Amino acid sequence: MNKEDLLKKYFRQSLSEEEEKEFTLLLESDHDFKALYEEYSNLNLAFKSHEAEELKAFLTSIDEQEGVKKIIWYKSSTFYYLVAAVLIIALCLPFLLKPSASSLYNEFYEVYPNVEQPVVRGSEETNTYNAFKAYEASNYSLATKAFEELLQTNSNPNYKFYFAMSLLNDGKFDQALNTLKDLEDLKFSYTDETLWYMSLILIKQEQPLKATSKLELLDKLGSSFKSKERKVLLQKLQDN
Amino acid sequence: MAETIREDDLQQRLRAEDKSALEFVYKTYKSEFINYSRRFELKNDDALDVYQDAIIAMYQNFTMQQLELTSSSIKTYLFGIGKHKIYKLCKSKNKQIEIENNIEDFEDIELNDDSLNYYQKELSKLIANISDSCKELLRLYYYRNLTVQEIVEQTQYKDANTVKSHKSRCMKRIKSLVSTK
Repeated sequence: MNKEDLLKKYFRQSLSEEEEKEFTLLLESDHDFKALYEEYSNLNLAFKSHEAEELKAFLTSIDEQEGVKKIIWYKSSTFYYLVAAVLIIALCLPFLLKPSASSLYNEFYEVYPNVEQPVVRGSEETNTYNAFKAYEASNYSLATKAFEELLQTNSNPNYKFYFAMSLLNDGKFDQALNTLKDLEDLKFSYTDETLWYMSLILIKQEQPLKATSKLELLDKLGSSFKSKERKVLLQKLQDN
Repeated sequence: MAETIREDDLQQRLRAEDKSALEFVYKTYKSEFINYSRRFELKNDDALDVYQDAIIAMYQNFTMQQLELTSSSIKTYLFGIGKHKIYKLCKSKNKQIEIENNIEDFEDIELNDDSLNYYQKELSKLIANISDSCKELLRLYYYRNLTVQEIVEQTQYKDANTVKSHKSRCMKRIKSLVSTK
């Protein structure tokens, strides 16, 4: 084996036993080989130390990048927005998982149509006619006033029901509920509707137990009004 | 990710001086080593310093000696080197080490003492002052321990004679730098 290969194997730590003997012998007896070995050894260690410094800088840069990534992440507005979003979601979770009172109300609420007084051209423009005309035109504040005036001279519960509907459609929930309360014990054309709308207003006012009792009362009365919707609504109220 | 890279592939990449493999090993075992060093009551800064030195020693053994681990894993080898370095550090600080025997531990691995003499230290500094091509050629020859033929195979040099003549010029250059010091 030539001297260069022997040196290479020595520094790779891959000399066989025999080669090791040859290496030691040469080192002791051959001055040129010893000089070659010393030159190799000096440069090997010098490069090793130089490379180690560069590697240390490389590893430190990895740590710094990791640190910077963390700092950038913590300092970024995205991070704070995300924290805020998570907190908001956590706080709102119970509400998000359960349908809100408003969403239940909106899901089931429909304007009750005018089935009492047909509004046709050529009809005599009485107070009753004008009240229902305003109601059909979705002018509920005008309808409210018209029904209020009408009720001063006429105690027809049907008109009172539409008065309550006008109030309800005009967003006056408390007044609508109070008006419907006056009607709930009466047997008249809109008894079932009265209980149904009372139930919806009570849901809107976050009184689910009272709302449920109105719906259960409708069941007891054997009402067929909105029977499918009532079943679904009752279930949702119980799930809440 | 650790499970997706095969141990022998990783060793092969380390032998080939693949820095991404080094980065992977460094990141993979860093936290575990820092935790391990807490048994010896090492401060975090010291633990990180020891870990970096152990990683470098391990990596240099792969790249300089074409190390092939057959009876141990990269992790066991790394932690063995690290453990020896921890012992050395504790000894230098006159710290008594008491380790519970019932916990999983690593056999400490002592590597050659690489402390440089004055001449070698000067040489190490001079490496930064030689041309990039000289630095790379001498690095491949004296640090990676590649033969002239292996250098031809792994670089753009057209043949062994070109490598030898370039190496000769580079050696003259570095010797002239030493003599002017």
